Amino acid sequence: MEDKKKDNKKTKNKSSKNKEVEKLKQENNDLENKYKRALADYQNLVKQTAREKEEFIKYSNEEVIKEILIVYDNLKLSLASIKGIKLFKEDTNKDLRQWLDGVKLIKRQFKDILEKFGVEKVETKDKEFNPQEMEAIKSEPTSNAKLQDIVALEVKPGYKLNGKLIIPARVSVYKYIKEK
Amino acid sequence: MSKILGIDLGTTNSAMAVMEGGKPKILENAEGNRTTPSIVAISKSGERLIGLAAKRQAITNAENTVFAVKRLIGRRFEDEEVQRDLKTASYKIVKSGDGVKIKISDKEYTPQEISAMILSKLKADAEARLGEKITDAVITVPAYFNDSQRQATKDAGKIAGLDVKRIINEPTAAALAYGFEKKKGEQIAVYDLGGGTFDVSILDISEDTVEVKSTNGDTHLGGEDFDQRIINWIIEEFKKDQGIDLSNDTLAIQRIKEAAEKAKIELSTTMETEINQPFITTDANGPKHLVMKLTRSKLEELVDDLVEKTIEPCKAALKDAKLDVKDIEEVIMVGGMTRMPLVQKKVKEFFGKELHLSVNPDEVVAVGAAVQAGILGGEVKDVLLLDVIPLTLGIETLGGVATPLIKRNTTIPTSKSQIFSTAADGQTSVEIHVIQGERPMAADNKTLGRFILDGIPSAPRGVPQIEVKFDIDSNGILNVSAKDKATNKEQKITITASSGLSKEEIERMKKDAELHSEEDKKKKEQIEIKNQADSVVFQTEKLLKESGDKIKSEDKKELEEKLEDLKKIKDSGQTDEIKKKLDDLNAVAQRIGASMYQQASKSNDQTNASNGTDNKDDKKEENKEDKNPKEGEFEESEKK
Repeated sequence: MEDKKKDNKKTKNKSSKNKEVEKLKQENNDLENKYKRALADYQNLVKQTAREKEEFIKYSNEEVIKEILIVYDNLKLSLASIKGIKLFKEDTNKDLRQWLDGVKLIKRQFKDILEKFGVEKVETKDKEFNPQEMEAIKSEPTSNAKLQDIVALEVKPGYKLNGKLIIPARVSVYKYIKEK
Repeated sequence: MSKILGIDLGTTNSAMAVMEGGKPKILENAEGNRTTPSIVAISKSGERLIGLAAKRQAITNAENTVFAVKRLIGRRFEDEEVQRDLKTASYKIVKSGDGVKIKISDKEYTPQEISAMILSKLKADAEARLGEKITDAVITVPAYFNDSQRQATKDAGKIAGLDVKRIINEPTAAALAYGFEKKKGEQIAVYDLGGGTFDVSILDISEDTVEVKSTNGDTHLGGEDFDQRIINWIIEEFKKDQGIDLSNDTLAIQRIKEAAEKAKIELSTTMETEINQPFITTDANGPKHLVMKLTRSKLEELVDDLVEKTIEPCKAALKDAKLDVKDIEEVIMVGGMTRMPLVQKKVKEFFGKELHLSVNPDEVVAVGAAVQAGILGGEVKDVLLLDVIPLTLGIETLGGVATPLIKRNTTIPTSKSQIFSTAADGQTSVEIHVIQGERPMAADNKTLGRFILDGIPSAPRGVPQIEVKFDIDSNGILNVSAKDKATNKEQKITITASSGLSKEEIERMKKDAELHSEEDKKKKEQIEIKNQADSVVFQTEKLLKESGDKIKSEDKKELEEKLEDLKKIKDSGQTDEIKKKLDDLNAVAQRIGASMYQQASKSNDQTNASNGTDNKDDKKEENKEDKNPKEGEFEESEKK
C-alpha cells in the first residue's frame, strides 16, 4: 500500500516534472525562434544598409549634376544662338573669333568632366521616339509615312547618369498625316 | 507570411508602402521614384506603358493614353462625371451596358482593367524591391466612392493578381498614418489638395471605427492650376518687358513650365526666388534673356482665389456633418499642394487649429494603407517588439557637466562602457551620479541614483582608470557599475524602469532641452573654460615647482603674476575674461618654455641648486586642493 502510494506519488511527480520540462522546452523553442528572428532582422538590416550605401554613393552626385546640367545646357544654348547674331556672322573680327574658340573649349572641358562622372547624353537625332528616355512635348505633322514616330527635333537634351535616366530628352515627334 | 502591400491608387499619382519592422515604409518604383503617375498607354506597337513612360509619350499618342481613369471606375455611362470626361478626355470613352469602356486602337478595356495595369506595375515593382512575392493588398479610395466604385476597385486588384484584403477611405488612411485611430471620440478634418483634385472629409473616431461623417471637394482643382497661373504671369511679364510673346515657342514654354514649378516649390521655403532662363529666345536684335524675380507675396496674389476656393467645401463638409469649426480636434494635411504656406495659413485660419504636416503629404495615404495592412497581417504581433530609451542616460563629470553614455532613441537591450579618471591628485574615491535627460548640465537633468566607488589607490589626477558601464535589459532595467581597473574593485547600482519618467515628463524634458539650448551652451562653455583654467593653473604650478631657477627670475615673476590673475578670476564665471587671462598666461608660459630649451644646455648644472623654497609654496597650494577631493567630478581620460 505504502509502496503503491509512493509509486503513485512518484509518477505524479514525474508527470508534473515532464509537463514542466515540456513547458520549458516550448519556452526555449519560442525564445530561440525570437532570437533567430532578431538576429536575422539585424543581418538583413546590415545587408540592406550596405546596398543602400552602394546606391547612395553611385547616385549621390545626381542632384548636384542635375543642377549643373542646367548651366551646361544654357552654355550650349548661348553658343548655339550666335548663328543669329550679326556680329558673329560677319566673319571679320579675328579677336571675337578667338574669344569664341576659347568659350567653345570651356564647353568641351565641361562635357569631358561630366562624362568622367558617368553622365551620358540621350541620343535623339533620327531616332525613334522612346518614352523610356524621352518626353514628347509636341507632335510635328508630316506627310511622309516613314517618319512616323521619329524624333523631329530635340527641344531640350536629356541625360543619363551611370545608365540611369536623370533628365528625359524633350523632343517633338513626327506624326504622319495623310495628304488630302 | 508575405507582406501586404498598402496602395494609394490616386487620380493623378499612386504610391505604395509596406510595414517593415513594425514601421510603414514607402516603396520606390522601378524608376526610383516614390510616386507613380496613374497613366496607362498602349503604344502603336502594342506595348503597354505605365507611369512616367506613359506620361512622356502622351502628346504623340493622346488617343491611346488614359489619364485619371479613377474618375470613370465603377460609374454608369449616364453619370455626370462621365459625361464631363467624355467632352474633355483625349481617349475614347464608349458605352458598354450601363457602364463605360475605354477604346484603345480596336480594343475595348474596362476602367477596372486599366486600373489593374497600374496596380500590376506597382505589384511588380514592389516585388522587385522586396525580393518576395506580393499577393495581398490594401487599397484606398476617396470617401465619396459608392459601393459599385469600391467593388470595381477591388476587381481591379483581382485582375492584377492581388487579393484585396480591404478597401479603406483615403482620409481614414491619413488618420491611420498619424495613429489617430486611438483618439476615441475625436472629430478630425482631412484637407487633401493634390495634383488635380481637392477633397475635404470630416472623420469621427469612435470606439472601434473611423467613420466618415461628410465629404466635399472639387474634382478639378489642384497643383496644375497653380502652375498654370505662374506660367501665365511669366509670359505676360516677358511680353510687357520685351514685347515678345513666348506662348507659341515650344522650347521657351517647356523651359518656363519647368521654371514655374521650381519657383513654386522654392517659394514654400524662401520669400523670393529668381527665374533665370538665359537665351530664352532670339529676335532681330539678338538673344533675349528671361530674368525675373518672383516673391512669395506675388505668388500668393496670383493664386489667392484658388486657395480661397477650397474654403467653401470645408464649410459645406462641416455643415453636412452637423458640426461647428470648434468641434474639430485635429486637422490633417494631405497632398503636395499643402506644402504651400498660403494654403497652410488659410486652412489654419479657418479651423483655428495647428495643422498636422509631419508625414510627407504625398505619401501619407499610402503610409496609412500600409498601417492598415500591418494591422490585418498581424505584423505588429509578428515582430519582436523592442523598446527604445526615451531620454539620454549619462553621468556627471568635472564641473557638473552631463556626459552621455547612452543616447536617447537607442534600441534596448544595450550596454556601453567608457573609461573615466580622477580630477584631483590623490583622489581615492569617486561618486557616480547617474542622470537622465538632454540638458548639458547635470543639475538640470533628473537624478536616477548615485553611489561611491572608493579605495582607489592614491595617484596623480588623470592616472586611475575607472570603467563605468551602463547596461539596460529589455525591460528597461538599468545596471550601472564602476570598476577601478587597477584594483578590480567594483560598485554598482540597479535602477528599475519604474523610477523613470512618465510620458508627460519626457515630453516636458525634451521641450526644456530645446528651450534652454542657448543658455545651456553658455553654461557648458563657462564650465569648460573653468576646467581648462584649472588644468593650466595646475600645470603652471607644476612647471614653476619643477623648473626651479631654469626660469629667469623676471620671467618667473611675470608667470606668477599672470598665474595669480587667472586664479583670481577663474571661478568668477566671466567666460571672456577668463579666456583672456588664460591666453595671457599661455603666451608667457610658451615664451618661457622656448627660452628654457635654449638655456637648457647652458645652465644644466645650476638646475638643482635653489629648488627648495619655491617648491614649498607650491606644495601648500596643492595640498589645499587635495584636502577636498572632488568626488564624482571626474574627467574623461580621453580628453587628456
